[in-house]
Amino acid sequence: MSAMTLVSTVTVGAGGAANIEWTNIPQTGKDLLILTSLRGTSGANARILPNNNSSNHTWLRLFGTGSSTGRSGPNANASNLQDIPNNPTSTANTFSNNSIYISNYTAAAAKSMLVDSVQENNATAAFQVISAITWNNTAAITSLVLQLDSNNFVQNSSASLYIIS
Amino acid sequence: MTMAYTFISRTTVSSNTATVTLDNLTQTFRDLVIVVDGTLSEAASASIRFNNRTDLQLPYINVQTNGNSTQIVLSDNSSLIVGGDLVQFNTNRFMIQVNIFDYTQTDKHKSVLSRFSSGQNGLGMTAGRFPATTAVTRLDFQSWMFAPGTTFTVWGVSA
Repeated sequence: MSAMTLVSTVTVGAGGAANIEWTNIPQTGKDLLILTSLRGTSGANARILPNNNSSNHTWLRLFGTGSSTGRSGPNANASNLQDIPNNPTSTANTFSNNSIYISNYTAAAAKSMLVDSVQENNATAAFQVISAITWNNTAAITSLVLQLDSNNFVQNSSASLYIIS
Repeated sequence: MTMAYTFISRTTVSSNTATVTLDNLTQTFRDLVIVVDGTLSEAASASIRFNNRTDLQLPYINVQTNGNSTQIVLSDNSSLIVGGDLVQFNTNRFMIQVNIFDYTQTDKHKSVLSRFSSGQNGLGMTAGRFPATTAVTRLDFQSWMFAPGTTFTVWGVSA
């Protein structure tokens, strides 16, 4: 039997959505995995907020832009998914492909997250990112909010939450 | 790619431990996924030894950043290095994900991909190879020292 259980898949409908979220996450697993396909109505960055809490986030990332490489951080703010969603200038009908792994989500300890991400674009400019995030909060994660710093996810953006046991 | 995981084992360290051994690994899967989550009692990197072999040199490439600088290391060692000169895991929470592909196969060397994060301390990834055609039956995770509460979880991935 697989130790990877789908909680639910959220697909953004017509008109877009500001948030993709899961509440009442079962506390029966060890880790969480979120697989997403995202595009925004603006070029805004995104954030993943355990328990809808924007405090005590620190993060660091390595990235390639298609024409250069770089790093950013460490930063202490909630905008912890930078250059993750596809933006409106990317090729039509393309979405970024992202993985967010959260370890020990029920533990009374700070939470580590690892992010793997690639944007899609029929042009040079497309970010590939790996990020390390720490949410320095000892509460168990019972909900998750995925949102842009501003504006909305476009229709057909989607995200699936899995519990890893 | 989404994989179907089957839980194999979880080891939780109860006291400061320099080496955590995962022995007699089941040979019923194609790939292994190991996630280490915890803290160290002192700042150090981590490494993985395969089948308790010290006679082989494992080639690896490691890219890491501590936020102030970035380093690429191309080297070999009797253990696969995770973290390194720039990224030292310490009392801040860290996570290491390790994927070992074809670990039971006896017709090929074993490819290993790893990601590691320690919040604002550092981030990186390692690609390496266990250069032996023998199946992987044992892994030794080494550091200085894994603190109590650090967990080592192993999942198998079927072909």
